[in-house]
Amino acid sequence: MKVAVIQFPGSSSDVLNAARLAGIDAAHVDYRETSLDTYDGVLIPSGASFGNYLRPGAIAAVAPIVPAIKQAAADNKPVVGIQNGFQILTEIGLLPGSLAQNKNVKFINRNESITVSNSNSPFTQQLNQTVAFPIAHAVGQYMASEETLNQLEENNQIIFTYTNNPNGSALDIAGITNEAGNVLGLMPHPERATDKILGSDDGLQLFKNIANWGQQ
Amino acid sequence: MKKIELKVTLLEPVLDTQGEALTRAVHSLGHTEVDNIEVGKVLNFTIDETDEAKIEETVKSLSEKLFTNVNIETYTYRVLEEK
Repeated sequence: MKVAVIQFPGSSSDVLNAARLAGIDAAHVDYRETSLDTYDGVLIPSGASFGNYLRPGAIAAVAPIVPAIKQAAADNKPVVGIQNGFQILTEIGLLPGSLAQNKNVKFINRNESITVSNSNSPFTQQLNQTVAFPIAHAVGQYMASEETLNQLEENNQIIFTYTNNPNGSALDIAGITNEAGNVLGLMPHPERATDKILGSDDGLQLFKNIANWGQQ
Repeated sequence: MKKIELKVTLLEPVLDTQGEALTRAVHSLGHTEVDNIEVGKVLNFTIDETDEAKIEETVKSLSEKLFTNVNIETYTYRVLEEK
């Protein structure tokens, strides 16, 4: 499984390391590239692309690589955006809704208990019902129209929810997929929960599920 | 050449935390007659175009594609001066 980890100025490297730990043949791909045809999946990492200038994900959303990310999603390859990557996926319209400033105005940085609300997704195979992932964001309040929220519920697109909603997200949403189920965005950081020494290794299975994509 | 001043503010349902905090600070200064402070962003730029319809088209297109997130933000703009 060859997976591209998109590198914007300000992206973090944790995602590449986590993917490799799970056995993924992961490589950085620069945001100025225009094709992802030789990759079987795409990871959009956390961090602060373009310094979060204007708003998180705004400038990344018009980068040259974006049409190739959309193509990978249309080709039914797994496309996963973590934290800033989730913000980018909503900005480019691959996932519905938006991330707004946390309701309590604060940057929140701690381990959170996350409930796997759809255990049938290829992304959540063999994950425990409740997992511990760190969160580290100030702009993580998921917002969407009533209509969109209803659709997310009806189509089982809500994959992860917060057990104790830290940021005011609608329906406690921590992570959603697109309707087809191959594009995942989540605000928590599974890449920072890949070894017991980090406090949790619950996140490693998510990357293993990407490594096994199409083989389950 | 025209100069554009574009203002981006949050839509009604999105909590404007900076605006609320500022409003409270202003009230604590005794100015209770001041209320409803909104904090947004201002983008100033020039556009090498004189046709009003074309200016509107370009500014609208860029605002909706890049300058704002239409799910949570709204914008107004004005053409400031001719150069």
